[in-house]
Amino acid sequence: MFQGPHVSLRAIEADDIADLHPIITHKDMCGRRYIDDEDGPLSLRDVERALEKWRDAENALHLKVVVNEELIGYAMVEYQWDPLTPFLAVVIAPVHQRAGYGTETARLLIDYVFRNLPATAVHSWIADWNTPALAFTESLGFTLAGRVRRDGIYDGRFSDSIPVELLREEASRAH
Amino acid sequence: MPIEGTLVRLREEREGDAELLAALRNDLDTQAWSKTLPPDYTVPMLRKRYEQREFNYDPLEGRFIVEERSTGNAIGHIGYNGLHRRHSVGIGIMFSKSAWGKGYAEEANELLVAFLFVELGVQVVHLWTHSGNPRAIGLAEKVGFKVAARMRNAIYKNGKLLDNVVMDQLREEFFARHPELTDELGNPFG
Repeated sequence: MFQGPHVSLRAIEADDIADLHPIITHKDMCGRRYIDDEDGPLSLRDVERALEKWRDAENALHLKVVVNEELIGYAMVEYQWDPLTPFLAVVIAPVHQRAGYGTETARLLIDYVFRNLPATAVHSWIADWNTPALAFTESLGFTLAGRVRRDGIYDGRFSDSIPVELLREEASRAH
Repeated sequence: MPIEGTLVRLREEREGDAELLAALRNDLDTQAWSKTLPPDYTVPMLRKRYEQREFNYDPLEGRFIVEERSTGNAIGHIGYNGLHRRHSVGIGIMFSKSAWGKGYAEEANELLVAFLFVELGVQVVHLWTHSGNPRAIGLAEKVGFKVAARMRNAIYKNGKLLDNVVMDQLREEFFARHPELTDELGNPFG
């Protein structure tokens, strides 16, 4: 289920911190790494704390993305209490983007959601400035659900958040 | 000091409000926007929640009882949570059915929104409701909110799959509705 042609999704181990740290703290990842307190540089201890939170989170799946035995990113599926519409996020290291690994990862997780959870849809939230992520979700069949104004701050302005969603029936048509 | 309106006032929660709060939680129409709770909340449970609240000089939430000014009766609950200081916050409201349709909820919403923009200096106020509650959407629109997003089939209540509806109101929209007020804070990013 967590294995695609190229991508393998595996549990994150404590000794993955050294490989995750440069991905999470890469300058191009700021604002798009889906962890709390993500404005500034993060220490190894900060990343360790994020991992601890992921490990302790209920109703959540946090996995590392592995290609050719190299950790190239991480991904998550989570919901607060209602598994109707889980949240999905995929983070791929910049150097490995545009190689199809993000798409493969997202499809594995979407497949997991609709095979294992009583979900009507899967959704994500994307900042308005993150046009590559919007294009990425669109290519997966997601549609825009609106625009929540002034939800974040980025690069000297308030940014909007754009919720995107993929209904179960849309996913089965798209994939 | 309570936040005073014409019809209602927003005041702090008191121990004696536990009965009202238990009743609001036990009414499927008022208990929660996104889920159905078992209607088995007790007054001692709500009293305990009240007692567990500790002094906090930097709270990220506020909880108020809505009181009818003419009688002093407690008729609802309104509050904010998830405050990002000087930036954003979410609000929620629960009202006794006996107080519906009298303009009380509208005024309570307006009082809270004014507090958030004028006193706490936020840039945007969000609220969440669902497509099966057109009263809540209409009420929010009356006090300046706009529908921002609608996520399909995200809520199941009363035998129906409903859309999750996010609404928002920007700072300048609030002040445009209140020309008697001056906004000295504005948008820091211009």
